[in-house]
Amino acid sequence: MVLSGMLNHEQIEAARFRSIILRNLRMFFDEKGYLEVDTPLLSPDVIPESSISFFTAPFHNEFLGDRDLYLVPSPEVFMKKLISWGSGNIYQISRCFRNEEQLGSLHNPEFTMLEWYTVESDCMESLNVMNELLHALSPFDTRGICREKPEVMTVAQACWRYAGFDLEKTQEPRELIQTALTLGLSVPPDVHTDTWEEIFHRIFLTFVEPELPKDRPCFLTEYPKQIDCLAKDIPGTPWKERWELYLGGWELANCYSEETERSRVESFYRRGYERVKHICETKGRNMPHVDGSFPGLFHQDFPPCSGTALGVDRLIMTLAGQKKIQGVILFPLSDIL
Amino acid sequence: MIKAGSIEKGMALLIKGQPYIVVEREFVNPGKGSAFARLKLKSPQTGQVLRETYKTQDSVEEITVEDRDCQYLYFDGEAYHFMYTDTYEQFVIPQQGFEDMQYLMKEGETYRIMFWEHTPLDISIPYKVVYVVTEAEDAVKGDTVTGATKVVTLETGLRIKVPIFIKQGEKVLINTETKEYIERVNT
Repeated sequence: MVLSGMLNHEQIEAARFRSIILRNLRMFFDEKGYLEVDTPLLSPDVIPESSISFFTAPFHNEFLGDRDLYLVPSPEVFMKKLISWGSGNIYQISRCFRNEEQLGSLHNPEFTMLEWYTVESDCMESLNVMNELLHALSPFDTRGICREKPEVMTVAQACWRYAGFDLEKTQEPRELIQTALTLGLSVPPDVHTDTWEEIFHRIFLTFVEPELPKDRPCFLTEYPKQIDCLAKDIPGTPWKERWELYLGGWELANCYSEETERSRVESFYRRGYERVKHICETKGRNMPHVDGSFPGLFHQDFPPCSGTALGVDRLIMTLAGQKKIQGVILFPLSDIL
Repeated sequence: MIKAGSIEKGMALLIKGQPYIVVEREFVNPGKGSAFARLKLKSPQTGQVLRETYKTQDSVEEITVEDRDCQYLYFDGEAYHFMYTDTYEQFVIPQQGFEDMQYLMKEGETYRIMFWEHTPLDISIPYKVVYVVTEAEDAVKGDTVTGATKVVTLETGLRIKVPIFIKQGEKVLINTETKEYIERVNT
């Protein structure tokens, strides 16, 4: 078994550091009055998200019969159920599972996520909570990144600053292809068949994301609407109420003002279902079981809320000054396979 | 042509007519639909670093390269001198773009070099290599802290962190990619 270049005692130290951070995360949310919840890791169904590949676990039962269960890719579904039942503010530190991701320095198929929901709130209020959390963790930050003043910019501002183009004026695919060519990006001859979102990601991943500040927290806000997700639209703009936090150059947290309008959640579900179906057909796989009742959670009394998901392993890695996620996870899959 | 999804670190690609070696490859799944391969490439001739992002379904041009075994002779301060082991013909590779190699290659050892139309593109070093520790301070007597480390110098001049019990003249196994200590080698 290869030990990721870590000595055994360094692994024990890493476990100790991890324990301190987890304790502080809990203390932070407990003191703010959030209820810690613990929802299942095994679920009978999933949200249709085409970007996520699931871990399937066969379930055998004499009375209920055999069927597939899924290891949750995030605790979102169960946590939103709790909110619809009137739980109020909740948080969870949970294991999540994503299949088909590379075993790289930033990925382990089994990872730890901190997810918290604040009711009667929006993503900009969550940004303030995130800032308070960074402040609370700053004594443990070996590199001092959390002690620096965060930089907050919209995605459009970041595109302008690092790649010199106006995202609001490039809302058509052909305009964005022209931008990619001007920037010197190699694009395939069939790039015109790309969606706007795909061309955007070609540019964003090459020229914008790698240039984001690494010496201080960086929030990117107002994501393009074309990136389909369960965040609310900002009326009269091409953007959504969403932010992502980059810490030390790594994408660490993702936050939405949650879409709570039932019809919009339903249509998101339909689009997601079609995309997942297409992928399953192309790859010759069984369609995962989708919980059709999920949009029904968004009844009249479902409160406005904001949800944030934060990668705990990446957080610990950044605080500890580690370059690889294997340095903060005990027995990472890349070592035990 | 190959799919960008099968690009691996160390491959040679032809981009805008120029050969590049893939030095970093990261798969990113930013949203719905497509996955992307984000690459950091290096021009072996100029050392210039290029970033490209492809959809994993995009086609990219892989170039046909030839691997040859070459003996490393010495470094003259500006370039590495090599000899083909089959023809005994000597040649040099400028240090630019291969700065790390100075501290990883051992004189007299044979390495596999990737050529594209007679241009050396890459020198491959095994993932794990045994080196002799040439300079190490003795551990302070009474220092019994578990897991204490110190910095030693290896035969190639590479300085690395090792456990305190490692002595001068001993052999250690090193991960050449991360330049980290793996274990002591007993002979």
